[in-house]
Amino acid sequence: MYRIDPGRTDLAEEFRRNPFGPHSAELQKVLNVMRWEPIEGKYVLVNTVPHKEWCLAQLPGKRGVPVTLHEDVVFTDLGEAEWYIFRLRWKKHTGVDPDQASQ
Amino acid sequence: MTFDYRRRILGYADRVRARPGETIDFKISLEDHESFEFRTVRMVCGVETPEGAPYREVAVETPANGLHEGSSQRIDAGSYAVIPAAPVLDRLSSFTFQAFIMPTLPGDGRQVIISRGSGPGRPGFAVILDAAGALALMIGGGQDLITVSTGRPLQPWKWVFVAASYDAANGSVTLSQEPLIHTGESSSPMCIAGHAPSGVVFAADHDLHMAAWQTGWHEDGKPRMVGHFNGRIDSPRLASRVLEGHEMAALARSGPTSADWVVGAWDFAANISGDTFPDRSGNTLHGHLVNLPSRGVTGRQWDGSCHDWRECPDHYAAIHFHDDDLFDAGWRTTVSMTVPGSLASGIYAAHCRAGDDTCHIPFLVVPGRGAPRERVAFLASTATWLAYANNHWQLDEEKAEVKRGRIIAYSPDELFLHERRDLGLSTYDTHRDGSGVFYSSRLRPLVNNYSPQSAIWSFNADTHVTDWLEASGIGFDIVSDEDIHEDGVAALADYRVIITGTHPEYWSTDMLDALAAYFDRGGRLMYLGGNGFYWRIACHPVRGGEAIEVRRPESGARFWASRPGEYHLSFNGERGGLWKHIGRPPQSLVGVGTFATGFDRSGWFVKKPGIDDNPRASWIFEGVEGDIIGDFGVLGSGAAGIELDGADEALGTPPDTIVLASSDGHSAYYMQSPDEIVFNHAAVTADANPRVRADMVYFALPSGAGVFSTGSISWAASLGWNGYDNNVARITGNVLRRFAADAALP
Repeated sequence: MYRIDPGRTDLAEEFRRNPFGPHSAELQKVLNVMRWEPIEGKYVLVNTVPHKEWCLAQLPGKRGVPVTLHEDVVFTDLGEAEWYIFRLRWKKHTGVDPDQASQ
Repeated sequence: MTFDYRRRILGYADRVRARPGETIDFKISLEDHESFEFRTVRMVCGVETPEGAPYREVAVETPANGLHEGSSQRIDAGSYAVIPAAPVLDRLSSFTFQAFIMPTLPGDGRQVIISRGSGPGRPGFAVILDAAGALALMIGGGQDLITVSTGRPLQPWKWVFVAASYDAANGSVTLSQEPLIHTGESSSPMCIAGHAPSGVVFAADHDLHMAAWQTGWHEDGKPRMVGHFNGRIDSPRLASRVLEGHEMAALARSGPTSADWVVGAWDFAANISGDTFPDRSGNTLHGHLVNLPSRGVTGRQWDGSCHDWRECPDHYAAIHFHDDDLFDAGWRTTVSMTVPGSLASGIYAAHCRAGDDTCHIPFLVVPGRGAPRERVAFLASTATWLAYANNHWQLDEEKAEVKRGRIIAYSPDELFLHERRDLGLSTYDTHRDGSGVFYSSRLRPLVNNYSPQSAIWSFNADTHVTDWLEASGIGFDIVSDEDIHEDGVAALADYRVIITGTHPEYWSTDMLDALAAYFDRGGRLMYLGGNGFYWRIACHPVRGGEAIEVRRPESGARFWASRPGEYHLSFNGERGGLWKHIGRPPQSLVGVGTFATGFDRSGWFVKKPGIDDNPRASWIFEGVEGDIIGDFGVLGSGAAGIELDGADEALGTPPDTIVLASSDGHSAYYMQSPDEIVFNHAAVTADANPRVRADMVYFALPSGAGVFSTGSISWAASLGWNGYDNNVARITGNVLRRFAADAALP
């Protein structure tokens, strides 16, 4: 099973620059690991204004239980939202915030 | 402020299409409102996108328009069986109930296998699985309700013989559970004795139920049902005395029996395509089913030797009940509308508004019988809309993001659907117990994929075609899947050209036969979609297109898989699955068939070298500059995307078919469809596999028929780009004008 290398901040940087791909083969492996997460607590978006605004949310993993909305975390650009969630997941997998590690 | 995604106005119509003079009954439910405004609108473009054709609906006059009163209407989800009240049931005092059951969610709340009664002042009994999932008998009523349980939970998805008896003379209760496969202590047979009050007198004149318990009546006169069972019941029997073990064994084996102590011996192997089941005891306690539980499912006798319930019904003597089954919500009519003669054939909707809350209920006006026809008809994929309606897949599927290649962004409607599970499921969903959803009904509020202003999919996506037709000044009628299913080729025969929507995926045998006959008569088809003609469906044998059924055998782009032995549709017995595997690949009908899927961003088409010099094809590209087609659009930013169909002579593409263009520019999230792969390998993605593509094709047939297929779902989402002035619209228009003319095709 592929493990994300905390030292490969270049992959995080590649994603930040181009969140919608096409991605390098190595970054694709990172994304596959990140996206293959359990549904409970999984980060998602909710479209609060059509085509214009999204807020961060988390799935409950149980039918009928409301999705948790983080209405204080709002995006007006889907690429920014992708990068925000990528950072959360990178940190979860490596313990490092890629935004700070690359600076 | 908290984001408000609740929908306080919901509704549905009793029919999806009507001719002028026919009446449509709309059923509306309001929360926090007492009245609503009903406006009839013609749907021009069902979806708002920043760069595409604008959302547009046009108000039209009908007598139904105006302010109407309304109130809240309830949904009673969950399937069950009803055996109507009868004197022989009223005489019941001592009894034994036995059945084979396969619980699928034991331990998930109290679930009823069979019940009679109860409620305050109406003593009854129920054989149940208690909250822990153990067999139990409840007997009595109100404060005197006694429960005796085996205390040993049953195993999920395992067949078990269960029996419960009550001796009114002394109050003794016996419970036994015998798993058919004994694998250890937890599944060993057990029998326990208990006590209840003697001489309990059961309330008379009460229906008997299986898979739920009636606790009373709602104010609207409908029964209040609770304790829905999740799982299968096979060979239920009710006797009027306490049976000995050998008697139970005989009754289980021999099926119908005429012994005078047998009250009911219900045969679930009979009338599998219908909503009823007979009693073989001689007491004529025949029953009916509510909310479409799954039939044509394997029972305790299924041994793998037979796969078609028509050939060996005894192997399919089970009914699978779910607490989230739903057929007909049964709401009262709020607004009746007789379609005025002034309404031209088209896509319409009831736009209902109460305060800031709105809902759209689409309906189609089809030409009256004998009325003049346009030369062109748009085929509304009502079966496909229904298959996708109330889709929860992105919410329930753990791998949704991996498959989509993007963070999932949910619409407000999805958040609402996630919480309102009583609105029922789509054929892409699984039931709460994990079993696949066979049926989808349109007699319930359809919150997504069957109404405007949601994602670009199904209904919405298809309005991109009709929007372009209108913008191009091309007159057209509407014909729906339901028309073809019911009227056959007669529904198509008057039209020179039939234009499909973006995704005509689900076809019954009658529908496919009708389309083939249309070609034999020289009809012409523009297939402006992808993943078309893919799954076989059946319509309800009595209620027609009100409910469809799908099975998902062995292969295909599926979100659940049919269990072994369950590939045959219960509605008509046909083998379900992909038309490709039934022997009628889409390529044999329209030149192309499903090759690949992908859901992140779309690609484009590249003209085939030399195509402009081919006199049979060059007219299609008249006025098109360059070789790249559709590198723009509002669905993934390209005209070649989402689901891609390709040509393949081995799968039936006619030999004289011209491949006009093929797609390119697909990401690694575009992969071969599972039915295209017979053995795993790594090169299934677009960057490595040449079969991950769409082919745009054209062919003519000796009958005078012609077919133009784009093989891409996202094609139509590019038609409105740049004010309809683009090469996708140009090509579509070139083909339509030529197809609509009387001249023979090249």
